[in-house]
Order: sequence, then structure tokens, then C-alpha cells
Amino acid sequence: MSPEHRSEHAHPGTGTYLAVAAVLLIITIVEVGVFYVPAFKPVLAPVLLTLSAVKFGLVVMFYMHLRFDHALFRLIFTLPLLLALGVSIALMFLFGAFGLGH
Amino acid sequence: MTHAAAHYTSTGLDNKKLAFWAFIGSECLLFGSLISTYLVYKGRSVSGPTPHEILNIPVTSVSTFDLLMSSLAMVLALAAVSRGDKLWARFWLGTTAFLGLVFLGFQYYEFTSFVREGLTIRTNLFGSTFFTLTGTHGAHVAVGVLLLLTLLVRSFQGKLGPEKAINVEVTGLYWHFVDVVWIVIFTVVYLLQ
Amino acid sequence: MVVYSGALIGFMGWGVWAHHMFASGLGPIADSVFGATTMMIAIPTGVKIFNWLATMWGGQVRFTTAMLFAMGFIAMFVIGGLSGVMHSSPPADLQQTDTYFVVAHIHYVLFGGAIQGLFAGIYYWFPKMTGRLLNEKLGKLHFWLMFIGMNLAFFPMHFIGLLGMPRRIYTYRPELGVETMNLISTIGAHVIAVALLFFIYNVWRSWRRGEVAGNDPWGGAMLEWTIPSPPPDYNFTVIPEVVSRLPRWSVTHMKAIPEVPPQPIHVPGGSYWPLVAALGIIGMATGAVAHTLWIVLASGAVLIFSIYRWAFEPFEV
Repeated sequence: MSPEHRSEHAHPGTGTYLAVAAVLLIITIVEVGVFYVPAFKPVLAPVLLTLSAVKFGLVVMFYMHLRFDHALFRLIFTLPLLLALGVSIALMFLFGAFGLGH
Repeated sequence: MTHAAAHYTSTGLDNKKLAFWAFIGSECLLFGSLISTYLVYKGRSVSGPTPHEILNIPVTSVSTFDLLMSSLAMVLALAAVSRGDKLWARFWLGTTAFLGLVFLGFQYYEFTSFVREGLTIRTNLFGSTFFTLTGTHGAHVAVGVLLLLTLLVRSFQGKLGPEKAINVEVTGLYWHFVDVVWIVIFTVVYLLQ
Repeated sequence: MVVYSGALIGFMGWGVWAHHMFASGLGPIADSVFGATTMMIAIPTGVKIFNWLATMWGGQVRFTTAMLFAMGFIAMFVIGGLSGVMHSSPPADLQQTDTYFVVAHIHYVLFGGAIQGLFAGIYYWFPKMTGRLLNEKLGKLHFWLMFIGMNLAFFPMHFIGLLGMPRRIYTYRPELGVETMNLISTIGAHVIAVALLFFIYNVWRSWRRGEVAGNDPWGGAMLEWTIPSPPPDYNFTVIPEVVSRLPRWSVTHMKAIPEVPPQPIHVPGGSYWPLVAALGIIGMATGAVAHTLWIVLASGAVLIFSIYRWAFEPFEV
């Protein structure tokens, strides 16, 4: 890599990768576990959505190196992601998936 | 892929990587709309089978685990290629591709058993949106496996030195993105019935 | 300003599409949201139009054919925009859906807007592409015939539509009272056809015997007019350094571009593999439409094979 590629340094080491994998694994086990526990039924949706958002963030930040990489990459990923999220919410709102409008 | 990766760009960033991030950004919108379509039509099927009758959580949990581990293998492959470790590079690239194939095998099993139980893409709204969403994701996994096998072949040809690590890195970006999409699908489609 | 408005229109464009479907019963929320976005998208569009007008106001307008088409575009696009805003109100839209009013609207936008814009571009850049100017006299004849023809053809459709004639239906009852206006429309369509014949003749003649253009027949401000017409394969002998927004008009801000390349320019050779890959995609789509699996699989193999050949094709010719 030539010197101007200043984004290419500082990838995390194997230890971090393994730690992230362990956390991902634990969260997945917790998710499946929560799914089978009847007591969690009322809070199932928020709990699961939060857990999967954490997993999403971990993979994107550490495995895709976005935490250490150039701000432009962060921008070029985060903006469409937020747009997709907005479109998703808007579509569900428009088509009455939240029990409104129909 | 044949010319040197490191050349001058006005942003100072590798243009291959920038292009891949832009591509992944647009993929967010593709999967965002497919997931929304699934959610919008959730619970509106007039006939069965419905999600909680048919979705197999234990099996899908295993395939989710498989895909998460493939992401781990992928970052280890990138680390091995970057430090010029050919043997481990081949091992981890092969492992990632293998885990991707295992995931596809799980999906093949899932799809065929659903069809046997009477859920096809034509059966109801659930079938249409479910197979379109997970099928598109599976197609992405298949493309990722092709990319990984290509890298593996290039490595065996002796053409995947540390100077080509960017090719592994962008393949990794794609692979991890496919993984995070599955993280969302697993939660939204399988667990939140 | 124009660029920001364009970007804004692009973003808002994602949120207006359901105004085509008000009549399908989307429900009050969808109707209101898409009606509101459709009205709002008129604001950046208006900004663009005032910008174009102000640009002409500040400049010295020469009534070349390209300029006439550009001005015709603005005028007709405004008419199409006004009938467009009318559609954004769901109750009015329900009356206009599937009538000739919509046909009038789309043609003012697409024909008055896009097609005239395309012709302005063709007249402007034809000399750059071919090295010869299009004939101005024939060009003006083409413009005026087409301009009159399109207004004859499409303006009466507003009234025909509001009187109740549905689109995509070729017969109508005499008591609707739209015969005269339909006749005018038909005459207008034929005038457009004649105008296009003049255009085709103009291209055919000018390509062979038109006035030689030279580097810059218009006194343009932009970089393409610094290089020969038609441009060499490599375009610029060196990468031009630009400081001003109108580089040709502010000589002090632009470095001279040498006539001959100071060093050999490497232009990558052409490749057929993208074309083969595209054929593979067409084959896959065709096979899927025809419900024939082997065509899909075979075309998919062609696609993957050609992508590999494309990716690993030697960069040197």
C-alpha cells in the first residue's frame, strides 16, 4: 500500500476477532433462549431487536473495520442504512402495519 | 483485478474499497425494502401455512451460528493474507467458503422441507415474501462463495500476496454484510413471529 | 443551486411515486403523504426554472436552434409542471385519473420537456461529435414545426380529458363533443412527424456536407470546446487543471492544453465480455419469464463465465 492509503492501518488483532465472535455467539444463544421463555413474551420484540442491533453493530464496527476506517466509508454506509430504515418504517406506517390508517 | 491496487486517487482511499462500500450501501436499500415487504404483509395471509407453523428455529439457529463463524474465518483469512501467510490464508478462505456452502445446504434443506409441507412461493403472502427475501439472501451467499473460491484459486496460483489483500478485504466486506443481513432476517423473520 | 435542487428532487423523487395510484384505494395516510410530497417537489423544481431564467437574463441570448429548443423546453416543462401539481391533490387526481388530461400532462413533461431538451443537446453537441454543424435554417424550421405541432397535438388533450374521454380507448361517443379537438390533435401529431423528417434530413445532409465546426463553434465556456471535433480517443492530451467554473471564458485561470500529447497516452482496449455478460442477464430474464429452467441456468453460466473473463482480462491491449 502506498502512503496515501492511510485508512488501511490499525486492523484489530486476532484476539479482538475471537472476542467479538464469542460475544456474537453468546448473544445468539441468548436470543434463541429468550425466544423459548414464555415469561419474556411481552418484551420479546424490543429485546430481540436490541440484541440483533448490537450484533449488527459489532460485525460492522469490528469485522468490517468501520470503527477504525475512514469517515467517508462510514458515511457511505450509514446514510443508505438510515435511509433504508426510514423507508422501512414509512412503508409499514403507510400500509398500516402499526394498526393505523385502515 | 489484474492491475496493481495501490494507485493515486483524489480521496486518498482505495477506489475498489470505496466502490464496494457504495455497493453495500445500495444493498442496504435492497434488503431494507425486501424486509419491509415481508413485515408489511406479515399476518395478512388468508391461508396457511403461517410462520409459527412452519419455521424451524433449532435448525435455523444452527445455520445462523454457521454463518457467524464464517465471518470469523473471513477476518482471520484477511489477517493471514495481509501478513503473507499463504498456508493459513488458504485454510481460512477455504473454511469461510465451506461454511458458506454449509449455510446454503441448510437453506436447501429448509426450502425443500417447506415445499413438502405445502409452502411455496405461490401459496400465500407469507410464502411469496419469505422466499423472495431469504432466496435473495441465499443468492448473495452463493455469489460470496464464488468470490471466496476465486480468491482460493488465486492463492493456489500464487497470485494472492499481501499486495492483493485489498481483494480479500472487499470480499470480506461483502461477506460480513451478507452476514449482518442474516442477523436481521433471523431476528425479524424467525424469532419475531 | 441547480445541482442542489436536482439532488433534492432526486431524493424527494423516492417519496412521490404513489401519486400514480391514488385511484387504487391506498387509504388516507398514503394519499396525504404522497400528495404532500408531490406538492413539495414543485419547490426545488421551481428553483431550477427560476435559475435557468435568471441565467438567460444575465447572459447575451443568441437564438440558435439549440437555444430555441432549450427555451421551448423551459416553457413547455412549466405547463407540464402546473398540470402535475394539479394531480397532487387526491380528489382532483381521482377525476383526472386515466383521462386524456393525464396524457396531456405527461406529453408536456416528456415531449415538451425531455424531448426538446434532447434536441437542444443534439444541436449543441452535434458539431463536437461529428466535426460538422447542423444546418441552422433547417434546424429552426424543425424547431418551429415541432413546437407548433406539439402544442396542437397535446394542448387540446387537457380539455378532452376534463370533458371525460378516457385514455387508451380509441373510440368515443359523438355527444361528448370532442371531435374537433381530437381532429386538431391528430393534425398536430402529423406536424410533429413532418418536423422530424426535416430533422432526419438535416442530420443526413450535415453529417456529409455540413459546415466544418472547428474546436469551438459556439464560443462555449466548458472544457469540451478546447479539444478538436470530433475529439481524439484519449480526449485531453493532459488532464486539464481547472480553477474557474467557466474555464474557457477566464483564460487566466486555465492552463493551456498542448496540441499533441507530451507523453504516450494509454487507452485501454475494448472488451466484448461486458456485452456477453449483458446477453447472459437477458437470457436469464427471458428464461425466467418463459418458465424454462435450463435457459436460466445456461444463461447464468454464460453470465458468470463472461464476468470472470472480464475481470481477468489483461489490462494491456
